[in-house]
Amino acid sequence: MKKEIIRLQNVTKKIGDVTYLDNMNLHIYKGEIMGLFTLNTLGKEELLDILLSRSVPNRGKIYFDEELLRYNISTQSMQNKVYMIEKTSKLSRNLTVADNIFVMRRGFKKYIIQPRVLNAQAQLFLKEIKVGIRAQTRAEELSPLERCIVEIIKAAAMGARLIILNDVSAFLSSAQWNRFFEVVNIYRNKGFSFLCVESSHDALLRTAGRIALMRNGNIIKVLDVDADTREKILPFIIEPAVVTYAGDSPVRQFPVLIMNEVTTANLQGFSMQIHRGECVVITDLNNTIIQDFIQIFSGQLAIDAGSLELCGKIYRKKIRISSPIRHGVCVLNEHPTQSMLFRDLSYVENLCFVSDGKIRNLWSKRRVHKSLVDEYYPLAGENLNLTNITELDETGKYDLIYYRIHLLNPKLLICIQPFSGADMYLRSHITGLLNFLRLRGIAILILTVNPADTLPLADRLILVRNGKQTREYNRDAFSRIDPGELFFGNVEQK
Amino acid sequence: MGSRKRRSLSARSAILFGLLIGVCIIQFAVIVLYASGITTTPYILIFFVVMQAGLTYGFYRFVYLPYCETTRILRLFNKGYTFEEIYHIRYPFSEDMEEAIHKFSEMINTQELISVSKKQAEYLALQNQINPHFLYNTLEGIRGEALSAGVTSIAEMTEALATFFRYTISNVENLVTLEDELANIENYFIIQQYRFGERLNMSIEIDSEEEKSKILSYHLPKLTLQPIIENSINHGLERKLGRGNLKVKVETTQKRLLITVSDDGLGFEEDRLTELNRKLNSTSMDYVKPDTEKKGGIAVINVNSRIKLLFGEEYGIYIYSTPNVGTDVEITLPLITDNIAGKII
Repeated sequence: MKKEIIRLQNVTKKIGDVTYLDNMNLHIYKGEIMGLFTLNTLGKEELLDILLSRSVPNRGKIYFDEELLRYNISTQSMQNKVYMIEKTSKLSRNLTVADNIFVMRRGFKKYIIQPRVLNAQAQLFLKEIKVGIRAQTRAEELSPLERCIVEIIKAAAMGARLIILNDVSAFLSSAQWNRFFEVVNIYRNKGFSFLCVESSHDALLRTAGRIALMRNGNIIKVLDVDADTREKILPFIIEPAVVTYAGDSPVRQFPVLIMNEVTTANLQGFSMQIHRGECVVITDLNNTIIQDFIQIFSGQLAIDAGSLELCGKIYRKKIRISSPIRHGVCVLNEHPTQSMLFRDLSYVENLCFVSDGKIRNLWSKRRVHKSLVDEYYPLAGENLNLTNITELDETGKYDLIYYRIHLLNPKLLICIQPFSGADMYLRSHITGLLNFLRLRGIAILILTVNPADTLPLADRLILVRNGKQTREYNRDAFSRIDPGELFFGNVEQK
Repeated sequence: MGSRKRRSLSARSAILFGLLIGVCIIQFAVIVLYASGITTTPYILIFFVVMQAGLTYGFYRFVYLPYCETTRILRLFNKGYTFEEIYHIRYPFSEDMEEAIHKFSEMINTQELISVSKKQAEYLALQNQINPHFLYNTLEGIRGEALSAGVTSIAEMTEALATFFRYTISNVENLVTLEDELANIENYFIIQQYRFGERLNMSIEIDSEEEKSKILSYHLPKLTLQPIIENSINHGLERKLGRGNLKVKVETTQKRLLITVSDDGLGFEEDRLTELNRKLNSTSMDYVKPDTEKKGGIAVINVNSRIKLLFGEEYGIYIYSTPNVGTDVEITLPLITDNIAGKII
């Protein structure tokens, strides 16, 4: 007989005129990893808010441990019972692992803290799951994987019964994911329940016992995970069209970037090259090299050894890339709509923001300005006249950023996790935008910890472990890759 | 009665309002004392300001928030989303209101609604019942003829049909065991298989094999599953090209029996599904009316209303469906053992 940890029954959440959750049902059993595959993001945040007692539903009932929570007391009843692990750490950076687990929690009432006792207790937890984390380590020194494991222990110590794993595949590499789910399974066997929220189904198929598909604020299907589940999920998914490319055109014979035995703190003799109009995906299996790439190509870090040839100019040891944009390199950060748009500027001003260094007197010459508007009107439409870009939806914001790069026309675009946080429809749209840039001859280098969504676009896939290439696949070999084995391994539910 | 007096919002408002007036009068007197120069210490004034703030908070906490809760329950009742909640209002507006609701609950006896539901079910059964014994005897006669002619397929089909009618037409009031219900749908499936042949496939999955016999002994209202299976076949699988699969999955938790009937048929359009789930979420007797629309789904609403009236609003039916993918009908019931079943009806 199963035991139900939480049950949402006919839950409706409206804010203003928008219905975020519409008569939604969901139940999670004790000791279960439940997958929540969000086909679009409508209602996701509101659902998590309700589960975390940050808000109450307008209608519907919530049962915790098969007991009905009344409207006005539901917030108190579920506090401490549900914990969420996401990209943002909930640990205090300057405190030790032991302090974070035992001291930084609601209900801790001791006035005198004995570090030795706390460390010994924390070490017991850590030993049990066989991880090499010391209780005295400060939280800021932990890797993303270690941080997530410590958060699970913290959740268990504070009495949480349901742990939400929100978009964990976006910041844990495949190797880290496998290790993390070994720990998750240990806690699952102890009776803790997990709700694994992902916008991609590959990860869920290998970890969850059941998968609920959520679209437009409602659960549209609940599937038991078995051998046929991948096939059953297919009708709900929009796969981005596989990009057909005109083979090795003459322009692709000129390398834009050649990295030869490049060494930094995290890169260990890394070599690769990328040609015009080519898309290369680098999958960082340990989640260590992305920051080094960002710093090298934004001119903040010089390489320690090897050489780097960028658009014909060679950089050796201790020489930084000066003015990367002028040299034709553009770095597109993760979540660009949050960090690369200026709310006080209009659409056109945002569009031309970095191009003014390239086009002389861009702002004063009305003729240039008009020609820009004429060129981008067929793409952006009426949005081009917007003075307040906060009126744009998420798709429109991505359009603006990619059109800005299109206008800048760099030789090399470095994209950091371009699909992070995007739902299925937005991922498909971003794939189209990246292809739009590639057809202009821009070389695209994608750095990611989860390559699943980038394959329709990629010409080559390079796997990197511990700062070194381990394998490289060309496009024609992609079909032979077993996505399960390659990206997530097979995590058996015991 | 004393505790009820304290609970009602009118009593609470009166107490707090009285206190507020008292504090205001004393405060006015203190201001007069200040004005006439009899006292100059500010502590008295600060004390009264704190008192007033405390009373205002008290008003918010003990009157305004309970008022919001009560209004919300009444609003949900008016819209048909809740039914029983109104009997459990924690903060009635006044004692009279509480008594009125109590009286109302006595007048609207849930059992009467249940009997209306039952009558509907009986009526539906009677429509197909001219003379059951004549029907059974005739079917037995056909079976005998078929056996003597050596046509076993007709004999088996006739036997299945007779068994199905016996189960369906006999007393509709009783709760039956899950075993009986599953046997009935297997029998119904045999009849349908003569129509669909290999095109139709059905499987029954019980979550815990170790507790199978215990799970099969739980009770549920008679004819809960068959109308849903019939709907799945008629609306989901009949017009589907190729093979159609039906799956009945039974799970139990500590308090609930969950039965999911899944098909991989044509599914519902989103608008129709939303409307149907909205109807399933309200305790409405509209389906009893003769002018109710006769689109697919009436049987599901009937079964849902019977479950809700018998066991409460937290049980019932919820439908998941996607066009051209399939439909899952999730039935939630309480765990009813032999002992409890005897007390319900």
